[in-house]
Amino acid sequence: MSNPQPSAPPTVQEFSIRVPKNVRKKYHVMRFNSATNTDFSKWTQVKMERENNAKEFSRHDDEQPKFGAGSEYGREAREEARRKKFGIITRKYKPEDQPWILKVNGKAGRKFKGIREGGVGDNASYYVFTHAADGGIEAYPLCEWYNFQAIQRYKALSAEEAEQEFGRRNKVMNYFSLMLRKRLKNEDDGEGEEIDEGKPKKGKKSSDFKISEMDEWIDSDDDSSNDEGEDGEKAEKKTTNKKKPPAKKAKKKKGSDESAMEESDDGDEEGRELDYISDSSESDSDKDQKAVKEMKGVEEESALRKLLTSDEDEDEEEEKKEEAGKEDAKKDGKEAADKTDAKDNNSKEKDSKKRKRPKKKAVDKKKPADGSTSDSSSASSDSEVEKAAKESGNNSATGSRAGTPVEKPKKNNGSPSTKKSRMDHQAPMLSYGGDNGITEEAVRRYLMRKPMTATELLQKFKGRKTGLSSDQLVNVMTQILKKINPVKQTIKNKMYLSIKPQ
Amino acid sequence: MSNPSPHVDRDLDLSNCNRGVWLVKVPKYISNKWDKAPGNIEVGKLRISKPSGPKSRTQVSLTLSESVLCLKEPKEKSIPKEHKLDVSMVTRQTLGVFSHYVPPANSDAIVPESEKLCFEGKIEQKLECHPNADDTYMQLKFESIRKACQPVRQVKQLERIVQNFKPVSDHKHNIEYEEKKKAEGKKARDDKDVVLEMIFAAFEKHQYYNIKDLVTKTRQPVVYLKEILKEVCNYNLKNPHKNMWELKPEYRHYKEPENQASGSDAQ
Repeated sequence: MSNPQPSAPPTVQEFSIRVPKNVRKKYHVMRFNSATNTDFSKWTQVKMERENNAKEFSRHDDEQPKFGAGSEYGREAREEARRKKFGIITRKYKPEDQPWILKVNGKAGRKFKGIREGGVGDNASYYVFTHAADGGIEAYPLCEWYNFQAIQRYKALSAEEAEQEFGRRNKVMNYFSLMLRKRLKNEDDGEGEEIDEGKPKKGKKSSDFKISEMDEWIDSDDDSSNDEGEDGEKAEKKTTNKKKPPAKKAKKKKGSDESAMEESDDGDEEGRELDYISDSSESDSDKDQKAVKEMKGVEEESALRKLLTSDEDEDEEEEKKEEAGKEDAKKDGKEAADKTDAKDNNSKEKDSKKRKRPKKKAVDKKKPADGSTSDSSSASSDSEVEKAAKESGNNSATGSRAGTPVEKPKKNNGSPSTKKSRMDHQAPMLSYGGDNGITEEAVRRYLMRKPMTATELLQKFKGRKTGLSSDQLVNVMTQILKKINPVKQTIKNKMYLSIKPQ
Repeated sequence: MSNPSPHVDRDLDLSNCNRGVWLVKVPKYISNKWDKAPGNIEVGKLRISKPSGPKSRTQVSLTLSESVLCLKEPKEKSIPKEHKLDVSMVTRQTLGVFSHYVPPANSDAIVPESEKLCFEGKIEQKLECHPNADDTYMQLKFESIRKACQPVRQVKQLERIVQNFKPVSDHKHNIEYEEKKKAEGKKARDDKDVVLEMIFAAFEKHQYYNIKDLVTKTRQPVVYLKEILKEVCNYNLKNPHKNMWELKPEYRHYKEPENQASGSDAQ
C-alpha cells in the first residue's frame, strides 16, 4: 500500500474505503520514543496487561474485617455517608483506565508502561488505514493514544544513598593500600601469637581486651596505691589521711581497680576451676540450693574479670607477686573471710571496701577457710590456694598460672568445703584456646545474658583469637553445649539457647 | 468492568507485526459522517496518482462517496467532497497500532470469550487530510464560526416576575415514608426468646451494632430492646466502636479469630 506498483507514467490507483463497524474492537496507538529502538518485527512473546492500582486506590481501612469478629454492621455505608458530608465523592476503580504494562520477549526482555495521552483527538480524528482482503481499504478509528515508556529494571538510589556512593568514589583507588595494610596486620598478629605461645596461657589477651590505653596506666598506678594501702593497713590505719585517697580512687575507677585487684587472684581463679574437678565427684545436696544462688555471682565476677584484665597488668602482677606474694595471699584470705561474714556474692564495691578492713580478722578466718568444712565463699578457696601454694614453698609463682599445677593436687587433697560443693552438679569447666578462647564459663555467660542461636554464639568466639580453626571451634562448642545443656526454645524457626539466671 | 479479571497478562497477537499501516488524520466533520455510515458501504475513495515526472511527488486524494455526503441532518451544511492528503513520514518516534477486543458483557456463550489484544501493524506514514478550499468548505467554516461566536448566555428581558419554585406543603418522600411506616405498624414487643434469637443471629454476622440498626433488624421498641441487650451485650463507650453494642464474652463465638488466637497461643 505504501508502495504503489510502479507502472505506466501517470498511474492512478483507486481504493475504496470502508469503515467496518465493530463496537467491541477498539483500536489504539502505541507510541514509543525512537530512543527505545523498538522494532515491532523483532517482537516475539509479547504480553500486555493493565497495571493493577486497585490497592493504592482503595487504601483506606481495608484491614478491618467485613464480617465476623471485629466487624461493624453497616460501617462502610456509614463511612461513605460521612465522607459525602465532607464533600468527598469516591470514584469507582476503573481497571480499563489504568496504564498498560507491556512485556516484550518474555521475562528477561524489556518492560514498558503505556500511559494514556489526552488531547490528541480533540480537534481532529485519526483513522488507521489497512488493506482489506478484497483490495480495498479499511479505516478504523483510533480511540486512545498510549505513550509507552521503558520501565527501569533497577532501583534508583535515594538521595542519601547517592550521597554515600558519591563519597565512596575515590575509595576504589585505595584497594591496594588496603590489602597491604591488611597483610601487614596479619603478619603482626602472627608475631604476636608466637610471642604469646612462649608466655603463659593468658598472654594472648593483650591485644584483645584492652579497654583503653589508660587502663594500663591506671592499673599500674592503682597497684602501687593498693600496696600503699596495704602498708597502711599493716600500720593499723594510723595514717588515715594517706590511705583515703587511694581508696577513693579505687571507687572512682572501679573497673580498673577491680582488674587490678582481681588480678591478684586470677591465678587462683584458675585454681578454683580445677577445684571443681575435684569436687565434681563429691556431692553435697543439702547446700545445692544455695550454691545455685551464688553461682551466678561468681560467674559474673569472673566474666567481668575477664573483660577487664589485660596482659600488662598480669605481667606486672606476676612480678609483684613474686615480690609480695605473701601480702597478696593475705589479702585474699581477708577477702574470703569478709565474704564469709557477709555471705554475699562477690559484689565489687564490697571487695574494694573489704580491702580497707583490718587485717587481723582475715588472719583469724583464714585458717578455718583453709581446708575445713566451714561455709566459706568461693573466694575462700582462692585464699586457700594461695596459702597452700605458699605453704608448699612455691610462693614465687603462686598467683600466676604456672602455679596452678602445683596447687591442684593440694586442692584435691583438701576436704570438701561446702562452697566447692555448690559446683558439684557441674562438670569440670571446659576451656580451650586460653582464656580468650572458648570456655564453658564464657559460653554460660553469653547464654545467661540473652538467648542466642548456636551460630550467634559461634560468632562471638570467632572474633576472638582462639587459635582454633572454625571446625575445631564448632566441635568445642558442641561439647560445651552438651555439658551445659541450656534451655532450648524455638523462635521463628531458630533454636535459641539460653540459661535461666539462677 | 465486563471482564472479571482485567489485570491478567494477555498475549499480544503478533501475526500482523510486519504489516505497515497508515495513520490518517481527518477533520471532525468527516469522522462524524463516517461514524454514522454503516460498515458495509463505501465511504470514500482513495486515489493515489503518481505523475510521470521525476521530480513530482505522489499525490493522494480522498473523495467522499455520495452516500456519505447525503447522511446529514436537515439543517446541516454540506461538507466538501474532495480532500487532499499530505503524506509525511513518522520521525523521532515509533508508532504502532493495537486493537483491544472486549467481549460483550452479557454474552450467552458457554465458553465466555476473553479479551483479545492484537497488534495491528506499524504506522509507516502519516497522512493529513486537507479539504480543498472551495465554496462548500467556506460555507462550512462560516457556519462553524458563526456558531462559535454565539454566546452561551444571553440577556433576555422579562415581562413578569418569574417564580421559580412553589412552596410544597408535604414533600413527596415524606409522604412515602409516612405511608411506609403506617403500613409497617407499631413495633410490638415480641417474645424475649424470639428477640434474643434475632439478636444472636445478627451478631453472628458482625460483632458491633448500633442500636438503630438493631431496632430496624429486630423491629422491637427501643426500650424493650435495650432491656434485653443489657443482659447479653456490652455497650462500648469508647473508640473504636463507640456507641455500639457487642455480645458479652460468654455469649461470643466467633470461629475464625478464635482459631487464630489459639494458633498464636500454640506458637
